[in-house]
Amino acid sequence: MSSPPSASASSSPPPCPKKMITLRSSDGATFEIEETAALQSKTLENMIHENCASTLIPVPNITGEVLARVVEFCSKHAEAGVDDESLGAWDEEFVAVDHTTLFDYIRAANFLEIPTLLDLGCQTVADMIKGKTPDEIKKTFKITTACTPEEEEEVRGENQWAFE
Amino acid sequence: MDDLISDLPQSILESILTRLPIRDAVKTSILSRKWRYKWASITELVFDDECVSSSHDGNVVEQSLVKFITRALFLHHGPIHKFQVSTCYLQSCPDIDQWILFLSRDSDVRELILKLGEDEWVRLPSCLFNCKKLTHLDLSCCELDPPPRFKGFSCLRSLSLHRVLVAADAIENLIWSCPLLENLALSYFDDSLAITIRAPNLKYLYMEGDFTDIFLENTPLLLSLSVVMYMADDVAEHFELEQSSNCNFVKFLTRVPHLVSLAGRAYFAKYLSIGDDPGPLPITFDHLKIIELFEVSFEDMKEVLVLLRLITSSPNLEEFSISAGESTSPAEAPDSLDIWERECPADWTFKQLKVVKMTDVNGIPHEMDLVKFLLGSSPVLKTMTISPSTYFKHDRMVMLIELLRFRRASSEAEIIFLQE
Repeated sequence: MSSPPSASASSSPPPCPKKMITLRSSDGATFEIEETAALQSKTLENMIHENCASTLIPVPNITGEVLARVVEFCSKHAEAGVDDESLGAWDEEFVAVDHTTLFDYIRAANFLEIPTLLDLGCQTVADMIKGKTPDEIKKTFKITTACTPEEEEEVRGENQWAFE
Repeated sequence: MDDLISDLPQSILESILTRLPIRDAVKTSILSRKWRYKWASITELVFDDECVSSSHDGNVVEQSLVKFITRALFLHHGPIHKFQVSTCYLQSCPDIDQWILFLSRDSDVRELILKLGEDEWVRLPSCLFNCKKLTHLDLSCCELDPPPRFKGFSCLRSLSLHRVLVAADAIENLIWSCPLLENLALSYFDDSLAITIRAPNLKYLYMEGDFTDIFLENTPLLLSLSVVMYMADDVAEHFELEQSSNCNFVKFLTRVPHLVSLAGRAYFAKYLSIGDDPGPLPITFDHLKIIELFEVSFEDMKEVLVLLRLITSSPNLEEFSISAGESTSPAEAPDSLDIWERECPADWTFKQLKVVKMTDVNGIPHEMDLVKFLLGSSPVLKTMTISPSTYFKHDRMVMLIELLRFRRASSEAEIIFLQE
């Protein structure tokens, strides 16, 4: 095999370094995320396309703990070659968390406009509500009744057709 | 721990509530004062038989369902973007007219899906055509009568009509008047239909039923075509006698040169074969990756020729599935058996063909020639799966022995023979 021409720089270009974006959480922690993973977030995608993403992006509403996990989610979903079944199983594990964390994920997904994470979070909550009685739902989500008995009766009457 | 759910923004709650069966969503009204009307402003309303308690009496279910939907609509406030009713219990019910009138008044509705009962078809009211923002219309078991002044749905992207009673020219005009239409599914119209489709942005077309003729007059962007074509025997015979010089295959497929996926069942292969053989086609289907043809009659030389022309005009084919129709007549005369050598372009290769599936194989000569041709011209073939038909009259061992002798262009090709 002959040696490559020494002057040429274009015979085999080096692999492109993956473009990284830095996010800063509300409590000052920084996280690096690959640009391809960041595209999972419409908010970040817009910033990338408008070239505002070169420096640090502050994410004031999200704590470091949650942001770390969100970055993990986006990176996983940007990975190539993952089949649907294993991704589904990974997602299931991802949302097997306490309610506080789950709602943190949902709010973060809403703020950063990450449809996959938002869908996953909302579906998980919907699955917790489905088939439960109102009392069970109130208990699960710590909803305190702020209705008087008269109000409750009025609502039951109004929506009797759904309770039949 | 606090209540983390009740103060979520409405957009998130919408996403949660629309993932619940609507009955569960309405029941959240009882959770607390804050929750009383959270359900009432969701933008998607999907109603089906799960909304009401089941009963042996269909009339009782119908009445409960009508009550449920009417009350829900009355208590709802805000825009409705999606309205869906799927049930077999509602038949010819005047309430449907009122619901559609209600939707058409605010005309915010984007997706309208009505899948109704098969016994008595509802005639949908003309106010349906006032829903100007419709992007998605899916109708099943009803009657449609577009008013003469109707100018079309300017935003409609997807149209699906299944068992819909409507005049042929009315469908054609409806399709033509929706300039953004990308997705069209037409199935089971009452009479056998000859239809012309003019849809300049159409990408996906699905047709199933009794069609006497399908003319794709203006569908240059079509990517995916799937046709299940049934034909009454007398119509099929009429076609054979007609013998137009213009082969249907040419008429039909050359109008869709950007096709990526083609699927045809029942009489489709026969329909394409009507008319004279065009010889090698002047165009190639460079983007055609997937071909699925079922119920091809390998004893009919014209169908075999159409098959040959089709695959040898698709150099980038990746997946090919084919099944034979019932074996009826005895084998063709010997001189027709060398059409594969005669008519295939010399040195033809399927550079991308990886997967081949042949089902209902009867081991007859043209089938074996097809297998031989595919094996010999597919250098990257990974698997060829062959399933014999249950009526296989030929000796399977003989077929397998013959198959083993065929030259394989791909050293990696696996031939998988599936027993029942």
